[in-house]
Order: sequence, then structure tokens, then C-alpha cells
Amino acid sequence: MTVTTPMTDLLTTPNIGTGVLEHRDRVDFGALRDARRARVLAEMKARGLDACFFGREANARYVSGVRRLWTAQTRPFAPGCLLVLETGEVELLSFSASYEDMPAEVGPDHFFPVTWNPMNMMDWFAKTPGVLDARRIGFDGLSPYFEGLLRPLLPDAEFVGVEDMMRELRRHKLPQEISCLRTAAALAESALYAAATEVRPGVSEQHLRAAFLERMCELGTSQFAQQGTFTVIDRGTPLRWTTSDRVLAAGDAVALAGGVLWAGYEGSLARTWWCGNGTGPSEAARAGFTRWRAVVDRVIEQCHIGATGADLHTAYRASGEPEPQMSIAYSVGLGHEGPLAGPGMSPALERAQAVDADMVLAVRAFVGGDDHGFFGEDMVLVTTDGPVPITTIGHGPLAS
Amino acid sequence: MSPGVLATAPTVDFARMRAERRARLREAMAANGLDALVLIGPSNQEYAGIRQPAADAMRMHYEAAVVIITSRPDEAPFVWTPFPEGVPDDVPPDHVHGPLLLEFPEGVDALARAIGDVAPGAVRIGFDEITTPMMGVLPGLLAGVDLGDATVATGAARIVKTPDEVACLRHSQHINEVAMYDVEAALRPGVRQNELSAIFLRGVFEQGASSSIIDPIWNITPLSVATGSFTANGDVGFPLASNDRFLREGDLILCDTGITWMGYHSDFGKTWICSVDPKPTAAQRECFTRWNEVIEAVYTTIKPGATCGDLVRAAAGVEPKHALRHFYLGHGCGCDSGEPPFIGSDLGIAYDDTVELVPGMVFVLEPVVWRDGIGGYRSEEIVVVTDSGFDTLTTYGYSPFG
Repeated sequence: MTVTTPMTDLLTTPNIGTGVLEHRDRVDFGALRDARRARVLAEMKARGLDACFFGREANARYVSGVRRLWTAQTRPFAPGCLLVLETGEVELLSFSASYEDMPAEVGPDHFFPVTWNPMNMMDWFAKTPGVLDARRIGFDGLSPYFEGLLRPLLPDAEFVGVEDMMRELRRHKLPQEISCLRTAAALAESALYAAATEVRPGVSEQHLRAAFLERMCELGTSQFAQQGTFTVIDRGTPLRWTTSDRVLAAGDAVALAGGVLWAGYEGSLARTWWCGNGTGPSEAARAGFTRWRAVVDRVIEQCHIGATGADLHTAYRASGEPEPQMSIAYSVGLGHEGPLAGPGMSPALERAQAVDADMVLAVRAFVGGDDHGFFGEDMVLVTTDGPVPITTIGHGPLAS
Repeated sequence: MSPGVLATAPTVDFARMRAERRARLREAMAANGLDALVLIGPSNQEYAGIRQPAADAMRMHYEAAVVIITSRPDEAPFVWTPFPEGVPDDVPPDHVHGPLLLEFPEGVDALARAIGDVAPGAVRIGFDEITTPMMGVLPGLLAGVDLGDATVATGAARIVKTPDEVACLRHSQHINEVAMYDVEAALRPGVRQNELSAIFLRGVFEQGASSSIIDPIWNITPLSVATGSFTANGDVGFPLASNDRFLREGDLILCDTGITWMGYHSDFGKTWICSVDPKPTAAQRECFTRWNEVIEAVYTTIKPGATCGDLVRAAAGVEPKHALRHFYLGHGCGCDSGEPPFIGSDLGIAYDDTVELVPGMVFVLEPVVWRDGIGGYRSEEIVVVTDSGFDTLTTYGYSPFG
């Protein structure tokens, strides 16, 4: 096949996305960004913070809506986003040097190309109006290395941790954030179902993960929230988190867990699927689901205004199931917003985790023991009328 | 999937690899006067032999592990983790504990107690990250302890790779390349960026990749900077975040992807043309020819004893501007995809001259030759410094330019 059009005659400006990503206007992202930033500025004022430096992408996204190059795992701390109280202006680091990634309200003179020389970053901070005069500055994280660079620049400023402030703000969702979370959850459900339909004898665990991620991308987003867990559950053993090349056999129960990001918001869920041999699930496998349903129903029942993480943990224990290996419930929004109940948390800390209206919680449980194990996770929205499910996809053969 | 090129895992002695890495860490700790390291960053933990499931950065802060390395020779790391299966067999069970929640004050109190238990008498302790509840309180909780920077030790240890690490890097790159053959075959007008990502992610995970660590980049690159989005430095806008935009006939695509295998990162970058019959123009071929001259000049310079500054001068001798202004001629590659040494970056040539090449150093060379209005050529080549020169870990070809 030959091409007759000379390449140089072709239009060279890239087209923007046209489909399911955040360019679509189902959500007014400009209004959402303004509302989120106003909340942060109000909280900064209340806490006497003159400026905030954000190194964590979720917080940068919350205050600016920036959609920078996505990476998994945490990078070494580097403050790539600044917010100054006096001016209300956001300053952003751009990994591509391009304005294309930037939200409209961040002017072309308020972004900075990525640098490998931290002194260039210090120069950027020094030139930003309001930074050198700041008396109290918030940081969502820090490292001894960056602290050593920033101290000479800001010798008299007080450095204050603000991840807790951002966590509290992020846990309480605006209506448009809930819309984003519903979209993310729908994408995750579709991707998970693609993996579920591949569950059959002879297929490997890593094939299921590949099917999840492939479907996620086909739906329009290539950013996962978690790479997921696609593992056979062996009787009497804890859930394995690490997907392997193990091949499924007839009669296996298979944990399927994954998460997707849409406009930065996370949709995550988990199911356990029966690997059939034409005969349907065993009684032991069905019993695993029944036990899981009972414990998760008890926990979700507690997802109401006025409850705390401690109530969720009490409900879990009351089911008679052993203590969980992972957190029972966590806040979901722009990523994971901290656990409400689970291992490593004291009763006092769990009591301090309030359940409130417009929070979105991921609730999860694993049951094992002599029955076939079952792992599942769902997202619920806390409303004045009680918990409302966000993930609604079924549980397949094990629940039938 | 391309038949006949399924990735076969290499033979790596993982126990030896972990032991050698920990020995390197201890050597670097001693050189920097550190009695213990408190590691929170996942890539440093990976280097210490402790793994976590990959997740978005926004998730990992709250499902995090903590690793402490003491100065006692051959002592296994101490680990607090929600994922005990990420702890290898050479760590005894009494070193492994449930998670420490460092995003809450009680978790930081518990960390301080743990440090007292496992590193009693430590005078100077290095931390790689500080969380909000740690800020301001650590000096009080660890009275008499000098708080330092762990990355002086992790950086010094990680910059030179053992043969097992190089084998891991080679295999990681191989998995990445195998998947990219399928992507390149799908590069036709009308395909969407997210469809290419689907092919890529499916491919790498079918081949046994441990994780994907960067959103696959399919940079639709205007042939002249002025016709693209405004850039802060007047250079080519790269790497732009991918979405569901579709590719058109003749689009110049700068791709860039990366995965991990057993903690080690690949790095794949090529220049492609989206077409049913991709044919670079004569002027574009000249960019590729010049790019080859740049990479050959750099290759000729790579040997133990040379400095990163020598590599930069070699490249500049052929092409004065041989890199994007916001990047570099090259960067290290290991448990992070971008790690020291940064070669020819805005750290400056004086810095480059301080970094001497030694056998086992692995870096990615990514020169760019750009002729505004015509386009350009960029490719990434991973090399490992050997006793006599260097070896390459990248094997993928240069179609449609080569």
C-alpha cells in the first residue's frame, strides 16, 4: 500500500482526546477545581498557613486539577506544586515543559519545567510572590534532603505538616467528585468483569491481570489505581496479593481486585470468581461467599453519619470472623485517603476516624478457614439516608 | 503476541543479589557515618529486598511499609508491612511486623520505639522521607540521635549494579521490547493512544512483568515547536500525558514506556511514524543519521575512568544541542527508572565531571536531534559499563528510520 500525501503537508497539531477522559463536559471541571482550591485556601487561612508546598500528586491534583505524567509507586519527595494564600495562585511543575498539561486558570507564567538541579527549583520558589515572606508553610511530606535545601531559603519560616489537613478536606466530597468516583467505579467494574470472563482452567493469574488492564485502557484510561490482585485462594491460607504465573485449575476460587483512575479519582473493587469445570461451585465455596456477605453487610450497615472507624471494626469482629490482615475500610477519592479501621490502628485512632456525609468508603473483607476463601471489596457513599452502594457488579457463580 | 519471542526469565541468584545489595548499603552507611537507615521510599525498600504490590502513588502512601537497616554486618532488615509476602525468606520472622502507620502520630511514636529496640545506641540515623506526623517531633522522640539523610547512602550504594542486578535489568528491558513489537505493528492512522496502551500493558503482563510504573507515552509530536502547545523553555513538549486521542497519517510519535521485573526498571524510547507505510523524509533521515553519530561518539567514550562530563562533551562535539532542555543526555536506571547519575542535565558540566564511570554502572542514553520544522529523532539506549568498555541492554531496532 502506498501513501501519496507528503508527510510535511499534513496537519501537525495534535488533536485532543475526544472520548471518555476529563475533557468531556459531564462534569464542570473548572468549577470543581475552583471549589476544591477555595476549600484549601479557607483551611490554610484558618490554620495560619501562608503557603503550602505539595509533593504528593493527589494533593497537587486537588488544589490544581493538573494531569501530569502518571507514575506508579511514590517518587522521592519533591514539591512540584505551590499554593500561596495571599495571591491564591497555584504554581506547578510540568514534566513535559508543556502548557498542555495545565489547568486553564494556571497562567502560562505559573508553571515551571522539570529540573534536575534543586537549586533551580529554589530559584523558582524564591521568585514566586508570597513565598519568601511566608511565616508558616505547609508541607504534605518532606525529606531531609529537601529540608536542607529549603531552610537556607526560608530561614525564619515555620514548617508545618499538612497531609492531615488535606486528608480531612479530601475525605469530604463535593457533588462533582462523587460523579467522578462513580465514573471511575464503572470503569473498574467493566475492567474487572473482563478479567472475570477469562477465569477458566488453564489460564494464568497474570493473564487475568493483563485482561483487566487491557480492558481498562480500551475504556479510555491507562492509569490504574492499583495493579490489582489476581490470585487463586488456597483453602486455609491468607490471601496472596502478588499475581503470579500460576495456572488456574477447575474448582479454584480466584480473587480479582483492581482499581482505575478517572480524572484522578479512584474506582477500586474486588470480587472472588469461581473457576468452573461445568459443575458449578462447591458448597464450601458458596459458604465462603455467604460468610463474606455477612461480615461486609455488618460493616456497611455502620457506614452512617456519626459512626467512627471503631464502630466498623466492632461490626467486623461481631461477625465472628478472625481479625483482618488488611484495613477494613478506607476513604477513596483522589486515591487512597487513609484507613478508618484495621491493623496497626489503636481504638483511639479508629474512634478519631469519623464517618460523615459525602464520604466514599471502600469496605473489604477476606474470609478463609476451612471453607473456600472469599475476598471482596465495595465502594459505598455515605448519605443522610445511610450508605448507598457505588460498586454494584455481581459476584458471579459463587453468589448464584 | 509475536511468536517465538516469549520472554524466558534469566537465572538470577536473588539471595545473592539481596546480600550483595545490603553489603553495599552498609559500606555506604559506614562511609557516611550512619548507624541505621529508616527507609520509607518504595525503591529504597526494594533495594533492601522488601517488595510491595505496585499501586498508584496516591495509594501507596497509605499502604506503606517501613524498613530499618542496622549497621550490624549480615543482619537482616527489620520490616513493618501490610504485605508480609513481599518479605523474602532471608528475613527471619521475628524481624517482620504489622504495619506502622506513619501518616498518624501514633505510628510515629511506634516507629521511635522500634528504632530504640532494633538500633539501640545509634548516634546518627538516616531517613529518606519525612511524613507529616514526623515533622518537628522526631528530634524529641529520638533524643540524642542525630537525624540525617538516608539517600546519601542509598544513592552511593545503588549507583553501581551487581551482575545479578544487570541480569534483572536486561530481562525487564526484554519484556518491554517484546510488547513494543506488537505496539509498533498496530501503529496505524485512527488508532487511539489508549488502544496502544492496551496492547502494551496486555503484552508486558502476559510476559511476566512485575509492574507498570509509568503511563505509556505516545507523544504526538508536531514537526515544529511553534505548532504545538506552548512550552516553558521553547523546546519540544515531551512527554505529554496520554489519553484517548487518535493518531493520524504521518504523526511523528515519540514513545516512552517502562515496566519493572523483580524491582528493576526498563526504559524504552523510540521515534516512530504513524502510517500504513511509514517513510521518513530525507531531512528526517538526516536527523537519524546525526543521532547515530551522537550515540557512536558517546559509545566511544564509555569506559571505566571516563567521567559523565566526557560523555557530554563527546555528544556536544557532534551536536551542540543533543538533548531536550528539560532533560539530559542520560540518566541512571535501576530500582528507579530515573536515578543518578544524571548526565548532561541542568546540574551542569561541573557536576558531570565529578561522576566517574565504574564497571557496573547502568545508564540510559537518550540524545535527541531536532530540526525545527522537520522533526527529529530520539531513542533510548541502556548501557552497562564493563571492565573494558560497555555492553548494551537495549536490542530493539530503529524502524522506520534504520
